[in-house]
Amino acid sequence: MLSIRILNPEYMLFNSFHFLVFLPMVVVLYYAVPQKFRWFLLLVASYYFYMSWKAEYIILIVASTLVDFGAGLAIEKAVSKKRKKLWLFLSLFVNLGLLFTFKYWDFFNESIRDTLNLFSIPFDPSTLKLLLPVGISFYTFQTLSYTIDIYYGKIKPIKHLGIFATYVSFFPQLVAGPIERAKNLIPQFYNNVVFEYERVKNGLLLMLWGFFVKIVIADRLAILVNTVYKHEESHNYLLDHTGSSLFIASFFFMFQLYLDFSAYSNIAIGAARVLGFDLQSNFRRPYWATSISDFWHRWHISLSTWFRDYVYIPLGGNKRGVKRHLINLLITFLLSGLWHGASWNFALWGLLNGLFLIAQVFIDRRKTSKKPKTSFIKRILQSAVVMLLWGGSLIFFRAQTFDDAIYVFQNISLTGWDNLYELGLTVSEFKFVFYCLVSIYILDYIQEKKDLYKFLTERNIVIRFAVYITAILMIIYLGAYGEDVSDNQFLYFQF
Amino acid sequence: MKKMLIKIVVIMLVVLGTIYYLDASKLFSFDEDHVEKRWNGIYKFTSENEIDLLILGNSKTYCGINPKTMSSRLGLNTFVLATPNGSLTQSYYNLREALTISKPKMVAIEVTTLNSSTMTDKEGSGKSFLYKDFNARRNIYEKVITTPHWFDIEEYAFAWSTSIRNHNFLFTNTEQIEKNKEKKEVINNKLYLGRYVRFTTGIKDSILNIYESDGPAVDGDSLTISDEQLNSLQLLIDLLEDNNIQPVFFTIPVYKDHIENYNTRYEILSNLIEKKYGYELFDFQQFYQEDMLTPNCFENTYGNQHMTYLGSLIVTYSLSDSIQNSTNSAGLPNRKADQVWHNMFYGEESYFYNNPMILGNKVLFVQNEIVTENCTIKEVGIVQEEKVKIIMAKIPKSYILESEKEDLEVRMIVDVKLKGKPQRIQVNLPFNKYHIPGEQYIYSIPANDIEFIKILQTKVVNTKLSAPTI
Repeated sequence: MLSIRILNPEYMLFNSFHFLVFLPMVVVLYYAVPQKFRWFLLLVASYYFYMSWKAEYIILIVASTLVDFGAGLAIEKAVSKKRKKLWLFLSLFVNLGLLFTFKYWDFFNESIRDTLNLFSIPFDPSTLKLLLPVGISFYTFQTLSYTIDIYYGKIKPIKHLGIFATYVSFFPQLVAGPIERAKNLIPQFYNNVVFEYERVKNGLLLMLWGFFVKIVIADRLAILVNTVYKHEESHNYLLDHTGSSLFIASFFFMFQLYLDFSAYSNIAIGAARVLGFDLQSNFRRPYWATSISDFWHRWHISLSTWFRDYVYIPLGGNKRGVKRHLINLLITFLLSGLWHGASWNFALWGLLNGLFLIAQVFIDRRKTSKKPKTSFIKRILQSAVVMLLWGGSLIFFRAQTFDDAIYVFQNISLTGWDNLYELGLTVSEFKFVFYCLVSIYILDYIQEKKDLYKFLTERNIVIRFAVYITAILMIIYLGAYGEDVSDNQFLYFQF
Repeated sequence: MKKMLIKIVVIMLVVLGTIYYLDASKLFSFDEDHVEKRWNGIYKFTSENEIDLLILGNSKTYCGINPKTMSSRLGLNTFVLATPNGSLTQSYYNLREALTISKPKMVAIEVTTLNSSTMTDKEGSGKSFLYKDFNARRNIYEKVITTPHWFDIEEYAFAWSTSIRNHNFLFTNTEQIEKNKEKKEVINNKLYLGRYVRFTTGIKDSILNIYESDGPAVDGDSLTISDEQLNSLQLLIDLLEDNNIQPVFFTIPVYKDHIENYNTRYEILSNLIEKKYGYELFDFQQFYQEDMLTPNCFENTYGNQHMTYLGSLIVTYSLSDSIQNSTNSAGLPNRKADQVWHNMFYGEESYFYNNPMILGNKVLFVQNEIVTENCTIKEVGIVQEEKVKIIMAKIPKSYILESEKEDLEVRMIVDVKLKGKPQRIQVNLPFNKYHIPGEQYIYSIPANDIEFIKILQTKVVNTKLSAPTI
């Protein structure tokens, strides 16, 4: 008999048909099985979810799980501080070792080689060229926070290996967060969750919104961005573009990154909510931030708070004088940059944001403590400044090489709009995404003042159903997917 | 939970209903292409007729086999159900659906489809054609059975819904949507048996030079058969045996210099089909007809080769004769005694070459039974082919030596109207090597602008011995 290809999908993205079949099956089974077996169902589902990408890489998750579970118990049991430290070190060594090997080994060696070559010292290191395990940066950080929290006595270690394994691999947030803390997520595995209409509805609507934003807007923005920033070994297409093409691509990328990642987070949070779990929110309308520091309280919150709690504060935060404060900021943002990717571009992106924050520190010191009332115009101006700085820094984030980023900075301008419709989007597509961006920007502003979810769910059933059905049909018929769209992965999967 | 399920079901029903409506309205469809036409054709044909010989294969097949010629030659109903970029796996599932509407006596399978490909390999235009093939099929049950074998789970929606697959028309091809809005269904009563005439000119010198400088494009040593295709072959043979249908296998040839080491490939095929399964393999590549299969018979490309119209005639006649002479042709009907069959094929491509030009009260001929000095010409007729009018003479083989046939010419003095003006001219009909009906040789020449009035004098001459005029 011929093999049936349903069992051999390439990869289970959230925006895949495979996931749309997988999730309802898990949800139905989840509510059907008794509470004491649910962790097992979630563990199997999570491992299946991960293994549908690359089965053998599940070993890394299992290894990380076993080491941190053991380390957690050992830290708790250890009597001396020295022994506790030793177990913590083991946990850090294994997790960061895995991360380093798979993500940074080649980058590290190549950087040494390039540096030595500058001084004409020959060095030819071996590169591993390993495929980066999806989500490794997320789940290693999640498990690290567990052992660190035990070490500092913030939480008690869990005695149930199965539930701990489920905490590490919980599929809604496994590959791109939100990075959950053990004290928030682990207790939820013990809850006897019953089906709650309002919570499930809320989760489903959050997912619907996530799908809409990802498929209809972010993936269409990606077409233009990828056209302009395309850099292949055979040809660097970026160099074919100048002026406004670079501006519009960089502007679109700024929104693409936000919409893509926030959409992923919404789907993850929504899926978890359907299963009765509350994950922390990752975005809070970042482009309406009033300053760069406010921006970092709104952008990728689970990672920002992770770096705050496990890097910035242990380094001394702002408690050890101004100079040390600024250095701490720079170190934290440099590491945050490198967390995103093993390249100097990401390091520079991180440093740049660190510098913005340092500037912010000086500006804030001049301000009076009294908070002035902000007008709408002022909010827009603040938002524009934030977007300008953030969008500018993202050029390092998006460009494939340092030279590409420099090229963009040297050639970006607001001139030469005549080839706007030759960048991968048709006139109607271009207008459509433009209207979408304006709408999103306005909706985000309204959300600052008003709960739109509440507003929607208070309407009568006809209006609600019309909105839901329209959204689904828009995803189907206005979404950027199919044969013409080559890449619609979530951007943060690469980290 | 019940309340939520009801709401979800209601929403999904509205969404699915909208998708169904858009699919049924064909707003997001391309114009009918030959893939859709072929399925529409087979459904239309089998609504009134039975298929006797079904031919499966890929683009080489629908370019290389002329079903009307084959039908006319063998006196049966032949249909070519081949698909672009098709594999044997595709052929198997297409055959399953075809068997729900007709029960052929014989199925001929072109073996280029037995190759190293798998369904997961398909991409680009190959994938588009797969969607079109699937979309054009009508049997819901068979489509459900086929789906997991042809597509990844991610492709199910594209396979089942044209409007989802082509949803980007809303941004990229609004003209097609507008065109589809105004499109009215056209009822076409022309007989269609699955052929697709695509290539009319043969290999030119520039391509021949590449063959000379670069050598063959394909190495027979490197041609393998994937496990998927082998499994499909087994399934296909089982299906045919269960339905008591006779399989035959054949190869559409490519230009002789296009492939090297074909022996290796032939051995693999022969071991598989003839030795393992015990069926006949008519391999026209291995047994290449060098005198007939000239560069004019093949598509003018170096990389991929399909047959031209001329090439297809040669292969069609060769396959027809192979089938007729095969030991397993006993089950095939001969419909030449059936007036309904003649009515269906009368005047169609190759009909006159293979059948008498007089049928009942329909007459399309100039003269028949013309007695000349050395032979009797059975029929002289005007044949309207698809794009060209041909004057043709049929001479029974018994009058002519096989070795002489190409040297002979039928010469006629005829009264004609040339662009409306009456004239008396000489018409020389050379040997036509592409049409080889069983009992006669054909001598013919295109005669597009000529209106024939009367044949005054006819002579069969040997061009090597005779002067150019009568």
